[in-house]
Amino acid sequence: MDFWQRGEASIIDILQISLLSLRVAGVGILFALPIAFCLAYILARGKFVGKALLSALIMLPLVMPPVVTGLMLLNVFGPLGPIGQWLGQFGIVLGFRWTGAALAAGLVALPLIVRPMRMALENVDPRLHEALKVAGHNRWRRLIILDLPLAMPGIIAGTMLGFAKAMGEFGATITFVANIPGETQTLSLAIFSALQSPGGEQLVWTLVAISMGISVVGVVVSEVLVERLSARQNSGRVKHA
Amino acid sequence: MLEVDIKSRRGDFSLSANCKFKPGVAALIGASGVGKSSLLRLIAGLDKPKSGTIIMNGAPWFLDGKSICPTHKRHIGMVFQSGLLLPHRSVLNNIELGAGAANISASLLEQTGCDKLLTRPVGGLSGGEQQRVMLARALAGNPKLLLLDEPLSALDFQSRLQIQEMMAQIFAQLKIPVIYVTHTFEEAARLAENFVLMQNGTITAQGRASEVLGHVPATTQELAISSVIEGRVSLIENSTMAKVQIGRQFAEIATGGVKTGDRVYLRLWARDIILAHKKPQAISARNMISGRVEKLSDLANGHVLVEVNVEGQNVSALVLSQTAMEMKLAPELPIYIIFKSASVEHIHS
Repeated sequence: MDFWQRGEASIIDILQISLLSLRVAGVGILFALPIAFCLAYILARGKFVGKALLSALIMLPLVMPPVVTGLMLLNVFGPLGPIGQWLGQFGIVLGFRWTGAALAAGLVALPLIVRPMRMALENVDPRLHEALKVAGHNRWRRLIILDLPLAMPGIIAGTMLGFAKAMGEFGATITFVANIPGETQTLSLAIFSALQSPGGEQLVWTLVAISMGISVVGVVVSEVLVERLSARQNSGRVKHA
Repeated sequence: MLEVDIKSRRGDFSLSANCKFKPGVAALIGASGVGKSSLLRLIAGLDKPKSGTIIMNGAPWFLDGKSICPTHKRHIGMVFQSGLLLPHRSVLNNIELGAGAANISASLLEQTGCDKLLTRPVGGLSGGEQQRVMLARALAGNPKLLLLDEPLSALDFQSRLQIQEMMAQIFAQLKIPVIYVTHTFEEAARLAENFVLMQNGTITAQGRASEVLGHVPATTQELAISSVIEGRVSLIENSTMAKVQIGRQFAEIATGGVKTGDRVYLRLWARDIILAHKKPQAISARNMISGRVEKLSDLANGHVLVEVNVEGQNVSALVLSQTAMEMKLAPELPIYIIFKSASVEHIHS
């Protein structure tokens, strides 16, 4: 019996909702990060036909109504969707599971992560690349010694922005994986449920406070990190005559 | 040896270069925008030629329109106009980036003056210091070829002189081809022994200073004909007169700031040269140098251009056709060239 039926939520219930939210957003971002970096790298460095189209596709989850995103996820990754069925053969189920919520969170966060990363990568001086190329470093070495460190503030900023978006994700999640307490009920969904249950007002404000607390901590941590990194890099930046 | 025979086109600008670079310093000179830096970038593989070949020590880098060896495998050292160093790493780290598997030699750090900068962050370096670090990085991996793209152009006069001096010492020990792009002749004269002249995207002359810089216009504007001979200052007398050794002979010129041991280039105007069969006596001109007539060319307006081989370098003299006839000037004839110290224009570092 969950707390909606009991009529009141204990601290443990609230803790569980918060932890589930963190897990869903965390795992979603963890999977989104490498994909976002690859996409940002391709968009920043690549010269190919259809670059604008790819860029627009990546931005889709940001501009589409979240419900539509959820619906598409359901149709593709759901129990009856093509990829969902294929993954099912390996025992991976996304529909109506927290893993599906993580997928939804990662997907809507993706455009927000890609954009600052792409801008940071585009800001790396191409002449530095040439200088390192001549010094004997191939593309992958340059990625490690040049792109990653110089783009790090952008990567962190993008990650944090994406994380905040993932924490607040609602529409796509509820459409794709429903609102199942203990499985897919994240903070946002729990706030929604509490609003609908009589006498849930106190719970609403508790959950809102937690949700805001997590966001504020996240943003502050990222701000501090970005500032420190930029300061270190700028102190070392070569002044060109 | 580096053998380059390439064509390239970028927008309206087309470049075609056919030249060889032996171990030693070659200055790639020419006005701004003639394609010197472009040629360097093509050799480094930073840009792709349209066609042709680039062969380094017998190994193809670029062949029949295809790059055989990518830039990062060419073992090149390159110094750019401004210091392209990694801002988040120290000076030592930046030098290490050029070293590959090689150990950085202490003498390299000392010669470039980087030994005192090693722990500094890159951001605090002056322009001159940045170029020192760039040179150390370029040489740290014992490259097969060193390319320098106007490395001093962004520096102030004082640091330019210092770094030029440092480079002259370092280049003297290198046994690889060094290509030094510059548009200032003074730099080229101080650092290089070979000159490659570029004009409008093509190499128009290549060789010693005398071959490249002697200006022989195709028209009959004979007043503009000059030749350049190379020599080394062997002695300064009374701090006003420099004795310049040219092969086994000597010329005397006003010092104009040269030091003993400096390599100097003397421009002699063809109209100022006097030719003589015998060494004249009691004459104010101080310079009488023996040579051998190499070639006579008739200019349309009654003048003859006489090219005299002096210690392996050519000096042009302009005389009347009548004079050439009366003196019986002919190839292989031993002859003295006579010129006033005051008529020598010297181009030096």
